[in-house]
Amino acid sequence: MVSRLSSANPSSALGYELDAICATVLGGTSLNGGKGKISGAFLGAIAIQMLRNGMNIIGLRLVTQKMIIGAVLIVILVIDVMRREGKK
Amino acid sequence: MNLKKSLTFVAKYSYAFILLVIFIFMTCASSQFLTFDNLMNVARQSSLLLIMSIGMTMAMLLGRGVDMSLGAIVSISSCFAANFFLRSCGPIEIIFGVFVGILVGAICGAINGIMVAYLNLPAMLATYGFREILRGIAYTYMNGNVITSINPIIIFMGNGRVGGIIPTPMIYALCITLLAVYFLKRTKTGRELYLVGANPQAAKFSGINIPKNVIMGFVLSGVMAAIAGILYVGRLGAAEAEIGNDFHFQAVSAAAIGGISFGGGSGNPWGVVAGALILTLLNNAQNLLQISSSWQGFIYGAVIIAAVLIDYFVGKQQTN
Repeated sequence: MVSRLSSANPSSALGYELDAICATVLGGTSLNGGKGKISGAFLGAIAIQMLRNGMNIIGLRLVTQKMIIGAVLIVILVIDVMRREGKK
Repeated sequence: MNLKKSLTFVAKYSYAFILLVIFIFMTCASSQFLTFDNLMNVARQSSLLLIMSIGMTMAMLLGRGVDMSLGAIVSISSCFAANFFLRSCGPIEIIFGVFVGILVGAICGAINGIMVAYLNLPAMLATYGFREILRGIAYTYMNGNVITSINPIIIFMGNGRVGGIIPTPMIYALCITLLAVYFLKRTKTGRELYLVGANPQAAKFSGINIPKNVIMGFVLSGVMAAIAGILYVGRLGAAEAEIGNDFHFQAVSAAAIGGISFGGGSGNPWGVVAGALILTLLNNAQNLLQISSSWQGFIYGAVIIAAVLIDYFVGKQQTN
C-alpha cells in the first residue's frame, strides 16, 4: 500500500476489509474455518479486483460499487452456507 | 477460593467499578467535571448511544453475532424521515415521518433477521454486506445533499431541555431502558430471547420458534437505530447520509463493556447503561484533559479487548 500510494496515512485502507472478506469467502475459505486454500483466496482477490475494475470502466459511482460488493458478499455467504449444508 | 469468588464478582460487575473509577479520577483531575452543566452534557451525549446500544443488545443476546448495519440504519431512517420534518410541515406530517423512520428501521432489521434466521448466514458478515447496501441507498437517495431547516418540534425532541434543565433525549433513553428491562426480564418473548442465545438446542426442544425470535431481536435492533436516527435529526438540526459511520462500533463497545456476552444469552440492560456512560465519560475526559482525538480509536479498541477478556474470564469461571 505504502509503495503504491507513495504515502502513508492511517485512513488509507478504510473500506478494504469489505473487499478482503469478500475475496476470501469467494475464494472458498469456509467461514467456520478449517477449509480453504491460499490459492482460492488469490483467485477470489483477482475476481473482486476484476469486478472493481469493470465497475470503474463502466463508470459506476463508488457508492454503487460498494452496494454491489455488499450484495455480492451476501450472495457468496448464501452459497457458502448452502454448500456446507449440502455436504452434511 | 474466597479470593477467586470475589475476583469473579468484580469481573462480572466490572462496568460498575470502571464507572466508579473514571468518576472519581475525573473529579480529582478536572475541576470542571463535577459541574451540573458537564454532567447534563454527558447525559445528553450518552442518551443516543444508549438507545442504539440497547438495540444492539437485543441482537447480541441471540448469540448469532453483532449487528454491523446499525449505523447504516440510523443513517437511512433519518434521511427518509427528515423529508417530513421540514419547517413547513404540520404535526400530522411529523408524526407520519416518525412512523416512516421507524418502519424503515424495522424493515431493515427484518431483512437482517431473515438472512440470519432462515438463510443461516453469519450475522456479522451478512449485516456487514447489508450495511454497504443501505449506505449506498442512503447516499443515492440524498445525492450528496443535506436536509436543513428542520422543524423546531423535532429539534426540541432531539436537543431541547424539559423545563430548561433535563435534556429530552435522556428521558427517551430512560424510558427505553426501563421498557427493555421489563421486556427482557418479565415478558415471555424477552425470556425466550435469552434462551435462544444461551442454548439454541434446548430452546428448540422446548418448542420455541427460533427464527421468529431471531428476527424479533434484529427488528428491535433496527427500530432502536431508527429512533436514534430520528433523534439525531433533531439534535443536529439536519439530516445527511454521512451520519453514523462508526455507530455500530460504539454500540458494540458499550454493550460489550456492559457485560453483554458475545456468545449471547447473558447480560442485562443496566450494564449497557453503564457501558454507554463509560464511553461517553471517556470522551468527556479526553475533552476536559485536552487529549488529542486521535487517541479515541486506540482507547475504544483497548476497552473492547479488555471487555472481551473479562467476558471470557467470567464465562470460564461460571462453567467451572
